[in-house]
Parts: sequence; structure tokens; C-alpha cells
Amino acid sequence: MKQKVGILGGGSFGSAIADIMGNGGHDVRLWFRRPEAAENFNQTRENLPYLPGVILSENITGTSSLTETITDSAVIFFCVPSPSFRETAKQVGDHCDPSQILISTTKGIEEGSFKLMTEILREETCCLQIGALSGPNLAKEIAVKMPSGTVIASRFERVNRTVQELLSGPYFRVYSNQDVHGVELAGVLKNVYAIATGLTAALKMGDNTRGMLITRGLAEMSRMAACMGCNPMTFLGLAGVGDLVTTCSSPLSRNYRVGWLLGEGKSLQQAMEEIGEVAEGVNTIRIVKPKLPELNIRMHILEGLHALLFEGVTLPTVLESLMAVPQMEDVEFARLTEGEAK
Amino acid sequence: MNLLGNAPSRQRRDFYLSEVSERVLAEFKEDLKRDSFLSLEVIINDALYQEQDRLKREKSTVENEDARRFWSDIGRNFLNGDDAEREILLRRIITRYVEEIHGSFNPRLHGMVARVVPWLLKGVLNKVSPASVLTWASDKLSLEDNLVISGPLDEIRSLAGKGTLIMAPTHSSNLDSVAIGMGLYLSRLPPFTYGAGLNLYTNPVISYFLNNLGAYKVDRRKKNEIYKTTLKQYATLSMEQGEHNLFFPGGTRNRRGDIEQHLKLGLLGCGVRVYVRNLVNANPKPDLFVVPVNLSYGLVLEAKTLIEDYLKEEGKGRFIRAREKKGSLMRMLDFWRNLTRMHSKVHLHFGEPIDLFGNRVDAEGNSRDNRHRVIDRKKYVLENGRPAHVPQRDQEYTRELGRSLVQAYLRNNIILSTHALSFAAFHLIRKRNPAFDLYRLLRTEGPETGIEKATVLLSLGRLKSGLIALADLGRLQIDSTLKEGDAETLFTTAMAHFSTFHDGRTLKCERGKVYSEDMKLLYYYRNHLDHYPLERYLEP
Repeated sequence: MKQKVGILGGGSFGSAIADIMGNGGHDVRLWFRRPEAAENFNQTRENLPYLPGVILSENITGTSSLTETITDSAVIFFCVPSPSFRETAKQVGDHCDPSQILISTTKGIEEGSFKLMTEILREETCCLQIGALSGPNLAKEIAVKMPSGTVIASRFERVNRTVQELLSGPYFRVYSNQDVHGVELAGVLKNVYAIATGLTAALKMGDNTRGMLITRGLAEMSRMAACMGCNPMTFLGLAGVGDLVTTCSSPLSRNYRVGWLLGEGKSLQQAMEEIGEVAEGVNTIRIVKPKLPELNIRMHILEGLHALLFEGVTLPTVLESLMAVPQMEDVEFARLTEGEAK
Repeated sequence: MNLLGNAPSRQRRDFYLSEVSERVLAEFKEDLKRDSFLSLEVIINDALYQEQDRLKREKSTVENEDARRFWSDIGRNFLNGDDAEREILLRRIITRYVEEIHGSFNPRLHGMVARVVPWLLKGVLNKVSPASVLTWASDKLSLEDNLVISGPLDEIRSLAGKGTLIMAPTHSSNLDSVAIGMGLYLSRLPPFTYGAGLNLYTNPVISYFLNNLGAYKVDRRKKNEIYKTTLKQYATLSMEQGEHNLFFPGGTRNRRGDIEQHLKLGLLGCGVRVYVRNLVNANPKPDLFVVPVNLSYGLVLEAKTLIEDYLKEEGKGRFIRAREKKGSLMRMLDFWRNLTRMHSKVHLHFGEPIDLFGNRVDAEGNSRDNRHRVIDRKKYVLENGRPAHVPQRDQEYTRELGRSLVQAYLRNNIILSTHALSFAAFHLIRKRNPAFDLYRLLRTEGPETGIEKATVLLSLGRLKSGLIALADLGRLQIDSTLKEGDAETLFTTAMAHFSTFHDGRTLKCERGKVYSEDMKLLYYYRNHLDHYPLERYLEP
């Protein structure tokens, strides 16, 4: 069934999924904050700043009107950066109704409240049929139709089914999950370990190091998720391992690049200036570290990066202390029964 | 839609009997259509197995003997006949269950009965206690004076005229039903029907009281699908008839003493289905409004057995149960003595009404989001543009409602002096024994474990500031002693209460030292303050 779909945020990922749905014959409204950006897009069908050279589907209409994007849309995708997420959600709350499905594709934790994006959607709108989309989804690869997969997570079967129908296609696969916060946390936390792998790569450490970092990163991520009521098994899926491996191996990842520059001896500020974009992993380290005592868990790699980035500890000291961390069990959740894992 | 109006109770009973039976049958037929592995044989056999298994474990009573005969008859017949005959058997089982569940509630009776409630309450006491022992209590007892009611009552009364109310109280004691029955009457709220546990019916006076105030019987021992479906359809029909209903969403009494974090929801889950049916049938008053209710006792009648049950289940081998020293009769007497002599209060707080999806509802009956924007709530249940019951979706809505209820219970929780003192004292004892796990800590009792009273007062003073701060933020409620009294007054008030009940073992103060002779009770009462960020206030 052809549906009207709204996409909030005309960045690279918003445009890439708009293209999938447009190609599926759906009527897509792509919301740009600036009217001239919407106008440019409608004239050229190209999102020049983010996906240069890619001509997007005819079924996408660029607009800067929230009302036009939201009214009568069966599903509304949020593809805005996390710092402006709440404000956008609040505005959407003025126009949406409870029959609509809201999907967050934004990976972040709100500073101060420690809330995930779907929690913000629940707080700022009347909608309950909410989901999160996350996975190894480099927008530039999706836009040029390279095969990719993602995860849609919602407690509502209807939400998962609808998003699968909207987004599945010849080059994009959508798997479903019910563990919404687990999928969101996976998307947030993996950036931290991308910084770590970028850093060790710049230091010319080998593949063994990278393998260990990714795996122990996975252990830290699932440890935190489990203590926040999520299912650690979620981290074995596309949104967990899938996204982590991609981000930790790809020089396309901003977080990996930040790590690389730090490994080359640059300061955080120099690294950020050189990249010129926000590296979410840096924010995540800053927000998560102070929360650890309350959660009563340790995340040694994240803590080490916090010491390096914000506490003035030198890189050799951080590396030395990481190698001295007590050696615990390899797979913490291996002995859990299925019931306990939930 | 109310098809009964003011029909006499006999007519009402017949209507429920036929309508609920038809609906349960229809539901099973739908299941059979959907699931090719399911058959009438399987459905009946499951109930037969579970019921006979239950009856094997239970002692012989007139009721159980009757049930045994019934089920052996079903057992003899269900394998021989064809599906048509099995349907007749299923109908027999359903009819038996509906008759069992059905109370003799009649809205017209309610007004009359409510007027004699105070007398009935005296009756409850006199029936369970020797009259000679209780003469003094009977004369002095007036629950009216001991019940403190608060909350947006005008709003709730107004909503009662606009839709069907679902009262959803916290549940910590068997006295909850009595206190709420009384509270509803004193608040001039309309009659409610509710599912009361079968155990409440063992006392003839409470039983009479429950029947006439609109209770139907819920037998939690019966867990088979036929019974559960019948019960759900019964509650659904009752709400569809516009009867205001009362459910305890926690299921059974909360054994830990805290605010329940995981509600079972049970019959509350029928709400969305009723709403959808009301919309489909163009009922002029299709809406249902949920009212969270907090009951707060300074002392809880069954505290000792509740917490021991909890610890036994959680701690297994680590928990050592002490022998009960006092009979239930004497415990009841102590409890009432505390209530009347100590001017102890039962606090009943009606919270702000919410809709079936967890949103706040205003006095006009509009649902509002967190930013007070009006919500078109019927759109929650649309499927392809029409109202429809979608089980998985509606189950999630009910979970959402559960979350909102837990938040409301925490916000409306009334903290009394006994809770505050227990929390402060337990904290100090735990701090003194950091290496002990909970079960060892719970055995740290007696005068030799005493803590200086001055230290307790200091902690209590700090805790009081924390409680006031949280109350100002609207995160909990505090009673007047906490608001106005200093730490010493608070301590004296709480100790006076503790001295009159549980043989005074919860907390004692001798030679300037405070100690517990029953840490489990102290733990139970301190748990009332669990789930709040209070520990940080206790440290300097």
C-alpha cells in the first residue's frame, strides 16, 4: 500500500531513506529547516551539501513546512541531530495525532536528562507507536544503492511491520526487534569504540588490538545496556555487532577519524576543528562517564578515553592502565538463560 | 451501552450469565479458527487437568467436594461425545464460572448499604473478635474519623458522569477494600463494582459487605484459560454497561512494602477493548477514565506475614522464618487499638485521572499530553481508519498505562512518620554493617545493636529535609507531622505508633539507644520510601 511519509531532517541519512521510500512509490515529504534548501532540492532533485552527485526519487517533495510534512503522514522519521531533537519533537507535538507512527533514526543521549530519543518522543508528543531505526548505515553507501541492512525496534508489531514494508527493497533489508532502548544504546555507544580503534590504528597497533577493542567494547556496551533493563543479546545483532564493526573499521566514520587524529598526537580541539563536524562519540563519553557510579558498572575503555580527552591524562598512561585492568570473564552473559537475559 | 438500566438484580444476573457465556464461547471459537492445533478437547482437558490438580492439593470443603463431582463428571463425558457435545460441556463450565464470579451487586442497593457501612464495620470486628474483648473498641470505633481523604474529588465526580471510571488503588492490606468502600461513600462517589479475592469472602460479614457494595469473586487459584477468559469477559461486560469498576492493578497485596514497580495489570487490560466496543457501538459515553488511588497506612495489619512471604520467596535458603507468636485475632485487636487510641490515620489519596493510554485527563474529560495539548484519543485505536481491537497493540497500550500508574503512585505516595523513622534507622544499621548482605542484616537485632538516639535524630532530620524537598517538587506527599514537626516530634510520634503494634518489636528506644527486635518489619516499613533518591540526603 502506498503511504504518505514525512522525514524530518534533510541531511545525508534522511535523504538516503527518503530515496528508498520514494523509489518504492511512496509519497515522501522531506523537511529542510531552511526554505531555500527545500527549494534547491525540488529544482535539482539533488541534496548537494550532503549527497552530491546523487539524483533522488521523483516522489520526494522538499518542504520547510512542518505542518505539510506531518499532516496525514502515516509514519514520521526523525533524522535531526540529537541537540535539536527535543525542540523538533516538541514542534511535531503541535501537529501529530495518536494514529501516527514516529521513528527516531538519531543516535544520541540527551545531556542532563540522560534520555534516549524515543523517550523524548514519548514526552513531547501524544504518540505511543514509536520506534528506533539503527544499524550499520553509512548514508553515502545507501544512497548509491550498495546492499545494507538495518534494525527497526518497537514494542508495537504494527510499527515494525510498517517500517519493514516501507524501507525493504532490492538493496536494503530491515530486521525487527522489540528491544527499543537496547537498539538505541547500541547506536549511541558504538561511536566511543570507533574513537578507540581509530586511535590505536594511528598508533600503528595491529589487527589483534582492533579485534580486542571491538570485542571488549561490545562487552562494555552490553553491560551498560543490561543494567538499564535492555537485552544484552540485542548487541549480537545488526544494531550491535553490525554497526560496531562497521564504525570501528571505516575511515568514513567521523568518530574513527577523531580517534586517528588523537593518535597522531592532536588535541581534542584540533581534531574536532580538522574534521569540522560533530563527532557524537565525544559527547557520549562526556555524558556517560559521570553516570557510571549510579549504574554501578565499570566501562574501562570509555573511562580511559574520558581520562584522555577531559582529565588531562596522557595517552601512554591511559594505555598502560587499560592493560592493567583486572581480567574478568570473556563473555559475561554466556551463563544467562534466555529468560534472565530478558 | 447499558442495556439494563435499573433492572432488578435477578434480571441482571440472567443477562450476565447469557451474555458472558456467549462471548466466552465466541472467543474460543475464534481461537479455534485461528489455531489449527487447538481443539475443544484441548481447551476442556487443560481446564480439567488444572482444576483436578488444584483440588487434589486442597483440603476437603463443601465447595471443593462439589467442584470434584463437577469435574469428574466433565472428565467422564468430554472424550466420548462429538464437538457439538463438547460445546455443551464448555458451556456448562463457563456457566458455572460466571455464576461463581457474579456478585449480587445492585446500584440501587448501594445507597442504602453505604449508609450502614459504619455499622457493618463494627460488625466485622465483633464477628471476628470476642465481644467482651472488643466492647470498648466497638463503642469508640469510627473509621470515618480515621480516614483522611484527599485528591481532586470534584473532578473525579464530574468525570463519573462523562464516562466509566476505573479505580486503581495500591494494595497492601485486606483492609484496603473496606477503607476504599468507605472512602468512596464519604467522597460521594457513585457505586463501584470490583473483583475481590475469594479469601475476603471467608468472613461472613465482610462477604455480605462486599456483595452489597458490588464485588464479584475472583479466585486466583484458578489459572486455566476458560476461567481467565470468563473473568475478563465478565469485567469487560461490566465496564461496557457503564458500571464503574475497581481493580487492584498490582494483583495481590504488595508483600515488600514499597510502591509496586511492576503491575500485573490483569483486568485493567480489558479497558481498551471496552473502549473500542463502545466506539463501534456508538455508545454516547464511550470513554473510560482511570483514577490512581494511594492507600497509606502508618502500620499495616498484615505487615509481618507479608514481608516474611516476600523474603522467603526472594531469599529462599538465606531467609530464616521465625515462628509467629501472636494469633490473627489479637493482631487485629492491636491494630484497631492503634487506629483508635493513637488517632492513627489511614490516608486515601485519589490521584489525577488518566486515560487508558496513560495521558492526564482534565475535568472536562479531555486527554492532555505533557504540554497540556488536547489529544484526540480515539485515534489511538484506529485501524485502517476504523476503531478496532488489536490485541498486541492494546497490550502495549496497557503497559503504557501501567507505567503511568506507577509514576502516579510514586507521586501520590503519602509518607508518614513510621516510614521516615524506619528508613533513617535502617540506613544507619546498614551503614554500620557494610559487609552484611540483606539476609544477615535482617538478623542484626536486639539491644546490643542499638544506635545512639542522637545519631538517629540527626539522620531523621536530614531525611525530613529531603522529603520536604521532594514533596515541593511534587515527587511524593508528606503528612502534617513531617511537614511541621521537628525531628524529635517525628521520632516520638513514630515510636508511639510502633509501641502499640507488632508487640513493639519494630523499633525500641532504651537508655538512649534505638534498636529493632524485628528487622524484617523495619525493612518492610522503610521500603515505603524505596524508589526515591533519598540516600544522598542522609549523609552530611
